[in-house]
Amino acid sequence: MAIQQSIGTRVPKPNHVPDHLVVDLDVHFPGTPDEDPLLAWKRHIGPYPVVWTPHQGGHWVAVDSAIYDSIYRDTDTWSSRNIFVGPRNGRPQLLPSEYDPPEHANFRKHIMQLFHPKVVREWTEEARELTVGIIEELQPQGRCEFVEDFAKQLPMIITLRMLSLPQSDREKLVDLAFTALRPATPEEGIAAQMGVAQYLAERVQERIANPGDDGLSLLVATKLPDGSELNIEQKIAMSTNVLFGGLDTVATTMAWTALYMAENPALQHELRGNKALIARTTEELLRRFGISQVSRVATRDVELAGAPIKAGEQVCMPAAMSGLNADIFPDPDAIVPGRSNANKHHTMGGGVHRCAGALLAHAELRVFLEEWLDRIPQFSLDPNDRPVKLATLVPCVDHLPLVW
Amino acid sequence: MAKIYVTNRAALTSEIDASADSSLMEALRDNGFDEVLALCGGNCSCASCHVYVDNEFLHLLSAMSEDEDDLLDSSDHRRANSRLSCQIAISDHLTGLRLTVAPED
Repeated sequence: MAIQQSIGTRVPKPNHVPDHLVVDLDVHFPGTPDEDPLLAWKRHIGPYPVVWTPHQGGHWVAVDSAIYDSIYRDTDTWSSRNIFVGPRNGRPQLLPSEYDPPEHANFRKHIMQLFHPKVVREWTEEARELTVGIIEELQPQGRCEFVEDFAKQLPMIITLRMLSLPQSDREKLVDLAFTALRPATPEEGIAAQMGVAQYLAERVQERIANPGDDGLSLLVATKLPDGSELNIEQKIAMSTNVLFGGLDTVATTMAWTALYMAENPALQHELRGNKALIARTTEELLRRFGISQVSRVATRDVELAGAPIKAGEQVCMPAAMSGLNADIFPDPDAIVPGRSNANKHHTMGGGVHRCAGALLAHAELRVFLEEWLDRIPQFSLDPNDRPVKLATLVPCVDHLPLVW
Repeated sequence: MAKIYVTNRAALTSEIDASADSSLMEALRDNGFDEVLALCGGNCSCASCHVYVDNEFLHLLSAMSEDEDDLLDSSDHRRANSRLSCQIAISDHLTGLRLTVAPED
């Protein structure tokens, strides 16, 4: 179980950081324990677009999302070599999420084969069949604990099938991913990440010996532009990056969505049976639930919107700051089906690193909404068993009892 | 700035002002065409911003990359004048361009 307080290191302010830009903000815990960990971000909108915090090893935070695109696009100035705030502490480099152009492009291209629209369409049909099966079992019970009973099933089962990994390993991997993203200590987080990498090391060796036509075999067969093979560490790092992408984020978005809909029956009513509107609303869910926060490292001394940043320092871009920016999204707390500029969010990052699995994520959210609303009547929160929200690197709903 | 005529899936045509520092996909989204899903965010890795460009304007557009060609092949609705709108940069000389949003796959 993750804890609800700051676990990183506070550091003294470096001399070059002006006093007026210093804030007391832990980006993993932007609010108080009883506050919504996403909406809490709105309190951090202030007069300065870029501020500095002593938490998590000391780093900058871009609180005005209007500058995110320029950071994501300028990969010469802003490196991806450490995308999480704080020192690496031996954490293995994600491949390709923590590689810069031009090396990044070749790895990305290989990964995109897994998410080609044709491939995603096949997985969507499989996801639909699976979703219907799960919901039809839950429906007669009149209640469920949404996180365990649904959210931690569908996306993870599909990810494991894509990589041809045994379903019997699902709970172990889901737990490791949860701990990696929401650790009680930084060491626990790194140990969980290493745990996933160690698990994959064995599977990668199996695929090298006996390649199949599954996604993991495809990743393992990635070649460098000169035709040479990746080394074993790179093969494992690339597989780890893909597996992490599919083990938590979609499930977390589904749980936030189900919580919001349980509290807003009018939205259930509006979307139920309206497939065209659902298709135009998945982007809005990502906008409203900005669960990601990634950082960039300055490659040179640079001034960013008034902040004097030194080479090697990190700038964190919390996606919640983007999605909840009222200047861009009026009435940002509300889910507005078909909001036409909903795609201006940064929940899937930006630039060349934008989420590779975006198409599959949208497909899974769409299938979930269509089939759930077709089969489950109006649902609400269980008045006797309240939901639990957790603030962490990836804020989540950890417990979500629903009744209908 | 370029004036562009867009026919949506309901066969209604409207005129939009597309700003010269954006892609055609961004211009469509900014003008409320949310049926252009553009799910990959303009990274040329899905085919959900598929449009048909009127033949007389096709030669004004930048050449199609191998990736765009391959993605368009994944669509059941590909035609000779198919393009992914995220791959078309807006410039003044595109004024008068007519396009139709392709059906959803």
